[in-house]
Amino acid sequence: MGSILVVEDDSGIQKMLSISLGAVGYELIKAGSIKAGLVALSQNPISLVLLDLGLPDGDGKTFIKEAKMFSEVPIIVVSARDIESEKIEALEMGADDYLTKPFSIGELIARIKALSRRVREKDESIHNEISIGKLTINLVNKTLMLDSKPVKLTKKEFELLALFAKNRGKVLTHTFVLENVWGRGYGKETHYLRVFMAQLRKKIEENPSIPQYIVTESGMGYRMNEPLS
Amino acid sequence: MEKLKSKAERLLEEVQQAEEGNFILYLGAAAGVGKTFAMLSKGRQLQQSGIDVVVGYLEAHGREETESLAEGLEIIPTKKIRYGGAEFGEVDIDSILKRDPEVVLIDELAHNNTQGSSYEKRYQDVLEILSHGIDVISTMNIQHIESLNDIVYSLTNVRVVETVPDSVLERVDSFRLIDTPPDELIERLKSGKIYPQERVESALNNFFTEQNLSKLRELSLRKAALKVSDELNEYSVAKRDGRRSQTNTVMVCIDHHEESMDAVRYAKRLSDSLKADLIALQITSDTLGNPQKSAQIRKHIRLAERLGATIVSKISGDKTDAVIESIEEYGITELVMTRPKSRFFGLLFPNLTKSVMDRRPQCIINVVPFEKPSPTFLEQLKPIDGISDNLRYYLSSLAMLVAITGISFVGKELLGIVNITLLYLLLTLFSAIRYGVAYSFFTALIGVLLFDFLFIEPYYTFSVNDLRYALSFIIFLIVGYTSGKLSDGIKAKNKAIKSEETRFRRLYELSSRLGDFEKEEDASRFAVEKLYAIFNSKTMVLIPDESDKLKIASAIVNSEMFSSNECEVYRLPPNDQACVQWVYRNGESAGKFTNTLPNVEMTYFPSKAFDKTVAIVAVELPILDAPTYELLSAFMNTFAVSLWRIGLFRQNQHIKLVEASEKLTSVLFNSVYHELKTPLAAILGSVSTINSPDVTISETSEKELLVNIEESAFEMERILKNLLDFARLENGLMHLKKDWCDVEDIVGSAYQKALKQHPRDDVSFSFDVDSPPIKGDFSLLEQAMLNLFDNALKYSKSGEIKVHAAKRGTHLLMSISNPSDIEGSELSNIFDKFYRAEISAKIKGSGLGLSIIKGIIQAHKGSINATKRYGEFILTISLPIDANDSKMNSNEE
Repeated sequence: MGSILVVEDDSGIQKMLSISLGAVGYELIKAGSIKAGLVALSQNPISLVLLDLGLPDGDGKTFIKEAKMFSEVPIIVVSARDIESEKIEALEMGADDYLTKPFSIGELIARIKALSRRVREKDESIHNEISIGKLTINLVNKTLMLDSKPVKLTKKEFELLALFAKNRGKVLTHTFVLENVWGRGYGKETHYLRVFMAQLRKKIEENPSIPQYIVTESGMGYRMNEPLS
Repeated sequence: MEKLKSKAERLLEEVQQAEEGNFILYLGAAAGVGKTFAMLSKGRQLQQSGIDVVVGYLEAHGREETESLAEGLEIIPTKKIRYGGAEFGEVDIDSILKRDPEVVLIDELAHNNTQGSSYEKRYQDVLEILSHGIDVISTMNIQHIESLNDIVYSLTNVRVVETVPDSVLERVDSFRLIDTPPDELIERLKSGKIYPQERVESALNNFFTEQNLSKLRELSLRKAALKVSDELNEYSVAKRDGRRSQTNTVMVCIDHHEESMDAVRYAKRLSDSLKADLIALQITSDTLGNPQKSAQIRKHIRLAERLGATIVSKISGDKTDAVIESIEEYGITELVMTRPKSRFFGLLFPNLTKSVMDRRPQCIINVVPFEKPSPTFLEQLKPIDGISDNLRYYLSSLAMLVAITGISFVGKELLGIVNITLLYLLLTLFSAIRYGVAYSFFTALIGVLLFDFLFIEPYYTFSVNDLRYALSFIIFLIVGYTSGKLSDGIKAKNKAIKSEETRFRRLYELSSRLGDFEKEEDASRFAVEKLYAIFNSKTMVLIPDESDKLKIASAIVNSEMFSSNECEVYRLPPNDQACVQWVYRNGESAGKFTNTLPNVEMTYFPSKAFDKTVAIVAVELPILDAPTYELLSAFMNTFAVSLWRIGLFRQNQHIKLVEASEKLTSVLFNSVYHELKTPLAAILGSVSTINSPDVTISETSEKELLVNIEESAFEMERILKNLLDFARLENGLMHLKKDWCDVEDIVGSAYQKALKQHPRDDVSFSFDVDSPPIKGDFSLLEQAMLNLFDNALKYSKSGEIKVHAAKRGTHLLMSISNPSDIEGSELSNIFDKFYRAEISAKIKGSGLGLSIIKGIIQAHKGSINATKRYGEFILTISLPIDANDSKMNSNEE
């Protein structure tokens, strides 16, 4: 397992992160600018990046763009900027998650875990079957088992579920989901998404009002989670 | 102190002097007496004593003497105006005002300006210059005085067209009479000193006869003497009792006849010599419907106004009554009327003058003779209201006569002679009621002839055997005439009343509605619409903006309505623009049918409130007669008051807004200060406890303090977020990013966040959400719900928080209820900013939560209400499912 790269210029946050994440067992590499971050990313085995957007040598989004050219490393944006358009932009450029400052360290650790598990599984092999909590998704037969009982899904519902399962821990924007499930040109048809998502939740969630598997990230999109046990 | 006072007095004197210029007029009996010469000499004399003198206009007539005298005086070049292919030079007011001398010399006061000048008359130029505090020296001949116009005509048989109203002469501070004996004047004329040689002969034969000159000289001397005695008189009277004595009042009757002009002029002279007030009486009756007559009357009224008369309008079917009433009402001592027409018809149709005289009023009656031959009998007969109607009435009267005659002739035996007579009488009465006196008389006359011819022995002749029938015929004719006259009187009165009523109704409509408007644009649009409804022609309203620039606020051009922002498209022609500026500057009407800039398309009226022109109303009028003028004047007043009120209202609003925002700022700062300080104190206290080397605390206590720090920090974050949202809502910066949202999702995610911040064991949630996706801003709606649950969790008593959402038509109806102790009386205040309920006194909060919820819901075009029922506090939210639906027009993006 590689280290976590923290691209952040505020020493207070840096210190806080290195102490708290170090206590959980993560190893941290610190960079104070986009340039330093990119150098560190290219020279070290990095498993995840925590990125601030307001950096001394430019907008953190530049880092996402540059990094994605040579690395598939998951990126969590950690920023005080709480503007929807900014979040969507960062996600569409390739960031995996977006956390607004201030945040609790528990929240951050949960997201880090979710993302690193997906990456690890992806590394091991191509899966025919994905298990999340009580859900078992068979990607070959296109079937879903909940608590070992089969659940009947429509074709689109299954495609939706499969897309989230394959991207566990990652925030998927509405546009991304629509274009991957319905196809290009459907990027703005959020109405479809709301309807199918409500149907899917009724089938997989215990309480659809308080979803456990696919949660809404307000202003960004959805994310599939490992339910808290 | 003394010094200060004298200085103030000096300043005051200077200001008063600066207000109006001094006006000196050189008056002469005829051209060539030496007025221009005297004026220039005076100018030079002033110049030599160091006064800034310029020549504004000089008519040298090529006289060498005069021209040489003008040398050395600065001459302001005249303004060249092209008219009818020739170029004319007129007084250039603008250049003179710009040059701002102390004294201006302007020759020929009575001159009529060329069309296209800003004023019709030169004396208007002079008055404007005087009003800017510049002294004017001018010249004029006696025959140009308005009130002497007809005397001059009768003396010399020459009608002078260029006249100067007496009111202007009253403005003159000092008259200088230039007197040259007639023989000397003729000598000067012959030697070519007045006109070029080629014109001398014709001048000598026409105007410059010794007889004419003598008469005019006498007139000038008399006028000058009168003026001097006036001044002496006024002086002595003023000395005696401080005010001018007032015992006599002169009244002149105005009608549409040309003679009224002479009567008015005579009345003016009479009132002057008697030092009496002058009243001009106009009786509104049958002339209302006739534009020609109305225009004529309007012209006479204008003359009377110019001569300083007070105009009195009376509405009456009977003119004689109206005159007698006015004599009593105004205490008239001298009545001026025109001479009765001594014609054949004068006997049958009594003249007003005669009928007034017959009533023997308690005053002296002055009868002014005609100057022009009275119209011939044929001219009198000529229909005035257009031939078609007249002819039609005559023909239909005739047709009915023929019908009655036919019936009577056939049923002669059956009906009997008495009934036949009554039938004719019936017809005469019908004509009288239906058409009027001329027709009833006509019917009676023809009827008598037919009756005589057909039914009276000897048959088929116009003679009668029994002379008693002759008496019957005369009675019949009298009945025909009187009944017609009666009905005419009633009709005229009705018509007058009706038209007056219409005007009042329109005005009433206007004034009652004008009070409703809160914006100038709305009021002006309404005014334009109303004017368009009355005149059915081009109308517009111009309103000055903050920088005093006039802008079209509303206009109807070619039946098309332009509102303020579209009006840029429509531009006024340059002449009209000048007219508008003039009206705004001077606060008097101008344009078509007025004396100022009459050759533009429209007439411009100032709408004045408290002497300030608040708007200019322009109307393209077909004619400007007395009733129209009155209607428009009243309209302008009402409109001005309305605009004035709107102005005040807006100022008031603005002040209130500023006050409110100031108050808001202070409340906001206070609130934020306290709100942030509380959690901050908790954090600092906890941290310093942990860090203090002097204090040893157990691990559990340390843990508790850390939890305290965390909670306080979250509280601070929440306050900051609310503040940001609040600021955005207040400034209208909240931009909705609308998209389809799952209501259940909104509720669920808000609930989860709220629960995280305020965990409560004694409260449970129940959801009953059944709704299609709605179009809205997910983050904002979530924020609203979060604030809502936040409140519910903070203020709820133990129990269940129930959320219910369902579709109702085009809206989503949502209710959130929780057990609460909030007082019902507080419900109306809870949405106000910074309002904190009684029960919340011990709970942290900014008082912004609900006002933010309300703001967000309103931004979504929804509504929110609070009620208290059975111990439950219930918030009801209604949101449109698709606010972009055609029915609910959204102004988002």
